Amino acid sequence: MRQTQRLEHGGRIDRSRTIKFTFNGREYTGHPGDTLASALLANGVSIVGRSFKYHRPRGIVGAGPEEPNAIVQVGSGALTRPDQRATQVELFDGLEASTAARLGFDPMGVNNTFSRMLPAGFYYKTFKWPAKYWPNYEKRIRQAAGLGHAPTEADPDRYDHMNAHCDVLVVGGGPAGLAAALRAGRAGARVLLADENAELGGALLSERVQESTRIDGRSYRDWIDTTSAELAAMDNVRVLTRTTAFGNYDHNFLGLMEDKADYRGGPAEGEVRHRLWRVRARRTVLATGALERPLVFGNNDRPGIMTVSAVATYLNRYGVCPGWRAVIFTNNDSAYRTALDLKAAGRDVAAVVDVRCKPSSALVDAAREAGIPIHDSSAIIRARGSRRVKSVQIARVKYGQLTGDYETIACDLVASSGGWSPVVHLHCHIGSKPAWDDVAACFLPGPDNPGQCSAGAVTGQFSLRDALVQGFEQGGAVASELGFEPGDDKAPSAPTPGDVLPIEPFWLAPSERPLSRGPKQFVDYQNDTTAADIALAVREGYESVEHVKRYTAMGFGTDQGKLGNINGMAILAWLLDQSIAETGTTTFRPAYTPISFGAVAGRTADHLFDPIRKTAMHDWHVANGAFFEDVGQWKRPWYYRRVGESMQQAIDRECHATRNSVGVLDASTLGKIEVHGADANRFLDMIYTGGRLKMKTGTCRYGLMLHEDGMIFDDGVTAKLGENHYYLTTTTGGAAGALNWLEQWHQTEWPDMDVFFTSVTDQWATIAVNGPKSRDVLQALCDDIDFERDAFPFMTFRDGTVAGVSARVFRISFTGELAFEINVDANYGRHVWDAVMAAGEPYGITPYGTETMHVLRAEKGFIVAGQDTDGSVTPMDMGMHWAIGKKKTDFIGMRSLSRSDIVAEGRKQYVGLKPRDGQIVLPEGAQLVDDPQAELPMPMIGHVSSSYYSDTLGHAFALAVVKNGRSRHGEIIYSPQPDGTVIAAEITDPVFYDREGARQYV
Amino acid sequence: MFQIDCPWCGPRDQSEFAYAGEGGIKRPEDPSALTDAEWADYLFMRQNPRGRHHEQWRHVHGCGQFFDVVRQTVTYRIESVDLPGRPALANASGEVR
Amino acid sequence: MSKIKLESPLIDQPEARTGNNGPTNAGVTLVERSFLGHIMLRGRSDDAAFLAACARVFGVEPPTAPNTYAEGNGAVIGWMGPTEWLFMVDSEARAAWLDALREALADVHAGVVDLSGGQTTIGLEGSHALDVLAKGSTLDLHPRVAGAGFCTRSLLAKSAMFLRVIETGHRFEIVVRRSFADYLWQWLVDASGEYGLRILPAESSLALAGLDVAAPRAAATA
Repeated sequence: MRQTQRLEHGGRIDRSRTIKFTFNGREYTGHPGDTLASALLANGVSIVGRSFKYHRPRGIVGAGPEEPNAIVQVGSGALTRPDQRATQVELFDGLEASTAARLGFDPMGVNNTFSRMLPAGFYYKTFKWPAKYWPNYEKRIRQAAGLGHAPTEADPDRYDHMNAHCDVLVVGGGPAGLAAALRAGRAGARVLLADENAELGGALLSERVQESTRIDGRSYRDWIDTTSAELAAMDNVRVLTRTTAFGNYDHNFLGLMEDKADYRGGPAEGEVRHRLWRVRARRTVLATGALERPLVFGNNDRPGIMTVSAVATYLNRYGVCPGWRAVIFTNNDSAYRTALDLKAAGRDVAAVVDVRCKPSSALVDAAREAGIPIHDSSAIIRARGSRRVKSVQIARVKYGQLTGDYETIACDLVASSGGWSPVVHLHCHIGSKPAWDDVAACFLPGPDNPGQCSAGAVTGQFSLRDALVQGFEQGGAVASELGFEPGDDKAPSAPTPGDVLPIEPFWLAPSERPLSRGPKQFVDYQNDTTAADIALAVREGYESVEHVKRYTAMGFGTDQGKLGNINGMAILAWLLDQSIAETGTTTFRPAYTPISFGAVAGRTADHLFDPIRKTAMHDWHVANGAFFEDVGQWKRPWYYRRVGESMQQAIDRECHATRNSVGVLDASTLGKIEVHGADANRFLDMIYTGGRLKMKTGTCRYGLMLHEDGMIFDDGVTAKLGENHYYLTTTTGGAAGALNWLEQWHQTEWPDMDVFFTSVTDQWATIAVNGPKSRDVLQALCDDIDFERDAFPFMTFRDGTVAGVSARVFRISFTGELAFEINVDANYGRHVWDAVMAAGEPYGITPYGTETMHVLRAEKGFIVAGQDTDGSVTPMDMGMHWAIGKKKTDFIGMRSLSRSDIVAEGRKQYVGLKPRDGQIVLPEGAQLVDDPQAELPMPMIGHVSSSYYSDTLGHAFALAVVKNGRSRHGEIIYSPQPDGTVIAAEITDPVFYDREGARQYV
Repeated sequence: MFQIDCPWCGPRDQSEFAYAGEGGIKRPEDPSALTDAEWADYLFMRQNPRGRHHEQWRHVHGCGQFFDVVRQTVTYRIESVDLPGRPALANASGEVR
Repeated sequence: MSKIKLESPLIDQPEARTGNNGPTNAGVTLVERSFLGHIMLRGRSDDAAFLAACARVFGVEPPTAPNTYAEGNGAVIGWMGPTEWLFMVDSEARAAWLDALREALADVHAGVVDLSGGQTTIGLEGSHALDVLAKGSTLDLHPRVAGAGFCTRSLLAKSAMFLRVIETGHRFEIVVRRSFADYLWQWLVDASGEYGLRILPAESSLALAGLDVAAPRAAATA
């Protein structure tokens, strides 16, 4: 197909090259510099989509982010991009685009015929019952709606985040933004200028090159080129094009998404596709411009009906005229500029239909002189034509009422302008409300956010001259606020605009028929929301603009109401007989335009999704068949499975070896903290439930940490390394929290105590050797420590040399067996581990993982803080009265232990459970009840916190908390399961093995 | 994402900090002397104001220090930052920034 | 007994040990500085006795201006917090420094903690070193803000780090906890990819910036 609508000259496209693309499988051509939309228009393609609900044919309406209709799927396979605005998709050779809806005959077009049966709220009302069928309805409705589809394959591309800091962030590279960046950059400030377009210039690029758009006496294009070059040459200025500032967040933090590859068909090997910029600016200049509103009239959605500014953009930027004979419908002067542009391009302007009475101004008069017929005090009432506009019916109007007969004007292009809406989105993202301005007939930014200001059209300054001056001044002002000295050079100058006739707000063309009976007057094209829908919402009692939005769907979708929302709010205000200011806007939220999930994720995917923390012995575990368990970010060996073994068999084997000979656990992940200072003992005495004042150097004590509410939150061992020097262990998952806890009490409550806490978790590789033969293994590795029972008693430690490496060996036990924990500099961890394995070989030393660790500790009734405790249990609940210092007068949490509800009867208490059927392992978390036949909701009296099968005991067992459990040993309790079965278990003491605790003392 | 002016390190991104609860709550000197109601008041009752909020933050991924912040909970504006009343923790020149 | 072997936390990253023969014009160069002496020194900035005792060993007092480091006697001492400094020395010197510090600080309120096995050091330099850091760090490392002698604890991607500016704008050093080192190395390799990456064989000597010993830098916060 030929580019029949391409003008002979003009535009910023590269006519020396012709590139091919396909749209719904059909091949077309365009030029570099085109967007998909401009190229489709150049090729005379007028239908680019079907509407959401009524499946009406739709054409391109806009030329930028406001486009509601030309929503396309670009590319295929893993690289496909859904819901792209054709107006923002740059054309590249080989581009493939398609629409979800059929553009030819559409069987769902029947919805249009019966549209009076599909008013706002139809789906809510119709598909509400029965609720269980909603998923089916939803699927059908979504299919019919014709939105794009996400790729089904894994995304092969790379995405990136970049944090940036700048003195001045300028959002928008139009005349105001360029002038601001120039001034701030010249002053020496670190400037970041971002613009969503491929090239700088903003709205200027949509202007005809003529006297009235000259800057500093030169063509505006020259000025853009030299300004871009000057900015690029400054070391302190970074310019990002194809970069949309999508969100404005607290404390001058903005999110930008840069397209680094999509515009040319995708990234090359190793390149980044999208980059998310996280910008922290000291000052931000919002020069986001304004978007034109269309006017609302009957059948205003027919292909060939666009905004005036879109027509100007296609003419002047892309060298495309979307029609041959145009009718322009306006309530303000700016449309006349485009009427003159059309005339200059050799196209017929059949009429300018202006709602204003006897308009006269510089532009209006120029149009009149150019021979363009002007119909004043008139409006387009409705458009005719189905697949493309063929004519319009106009009539005289006054105060929103019809005052004359219809006149029909033939045309193939209708351009309407209802005035300009400043792009206040970013300004409003952090809570600032926009303010309605009656004179400019638009919402303007409210009071500036801290550290932010606005410049150019977003402030309602719609002339080029004013935008340049304002941008330049704001750029200088923010730079000097930051201590830079902007020179006294002058702002870029543009010719003084002629006199302007003010805009006359006009929200809805009148009709001789009631709202719901006439041709549809679309407010939101993408959601098929009409003026009649808003009226219906009001009739049904909706008053808040937020509720009307949700009832009518106005402002949802990929365009988020950029084109139609202000019209809709104004119509709502009119229907409610209140002002637009009173009606207000819906909430502006990020993202301004959609951003990709890839950009949000950045590099945080696959193997970099989250840190994998490894111990020094990790590779040994991998090489020896370990299955791993994630504990926080750590990888801990869960169990080591030999060929032919089930998981349970592996655990049984590991348990058996440890109870009967020797097992070894990598315990490096335990939290470890060194404590220094003369007040260390006094401080720790406040932190732990047990006494720390009388500890002797060389000894260890187990301890509980409580929150001030008396609940257990962590436990561990304290070792006294020397006078004023301690070493603490915490749970693996609790390490950071415990250190934070100590620091908080020290820094904020007892800063005068002389004490320091230093994390040494990563410094030490910890090898826990457990079992009756552990002493033999240690003796084989170390000759400078006496391991005999009385020389090295339980709950003490010794420094020495293990396998040639300086080590600290603790005689502590988490299994109830004779046990030693070897701690060495982690760089030697693997060496010492290997030595332990070699020394243990004669005893069949068996590595065990966390699962076996849990079985062994649970057999002994040892708790795991965070598993058997859940922040709601006290030491007494856990039967750990022994862990509380008898003579202590205060420690964190102590006062709470005597609160009335803590000492009350009926608290859940720590017990063991022995299932009646010893082969059944109760699920952890299972709820416990007294009477499994009780009516629902069944009174719950406890839950299972740990549960395993014990090969040593020969049956399954569990740990649990049960109301008054300690006085109920021997009773039967029940656990109803989701499958309807009930597991019965006997309440027992929580210690199942070696109740006297003799084995660890051997 | 806030930017918080650490009294030691200067302005840093919120991601380096951890919120540490309402500020200015002093642990009672002698908890055992308190009634249950008084103790519960210290334990549980917090201001949660709409407006100025005195809170604590910790520069956990920086200098590790706790400090006091006055923040507007409506606008999120941070009005001031201060060390938690420990004159000894002054910087090099002896002044508390 | 078998020969005692040391293992770096980057054991699973062979290129960290051997280098990757990357292009000499690469935008980013990475090198692990393994097995250095890392000594955490605890004391109070306002404790004259502590500062003086340190100065006797080190030559100058530990810097008390936030986010600065000093060099002296072949060691680096970086401010981590008002009561924390990281001492870094060549690996052979570690034991002697530990002894000297423990002896000198025996009678003052101080802590000396060996962390040499608990962290490793990664050198990052090149024309795009700053860009790589910006991908994962919210710090403003522009030379106007983070000048000579700047150091800080912070985050890089999802890991904590201690960062030192060796040469303003293009040469940095990252100290990372052992258990996060493997992740952070892989992240750095990935983030450097688009600029061309050269990995040098691991070294075990300390990187010095040649700071003026007599005059530790003032706070570099702008």
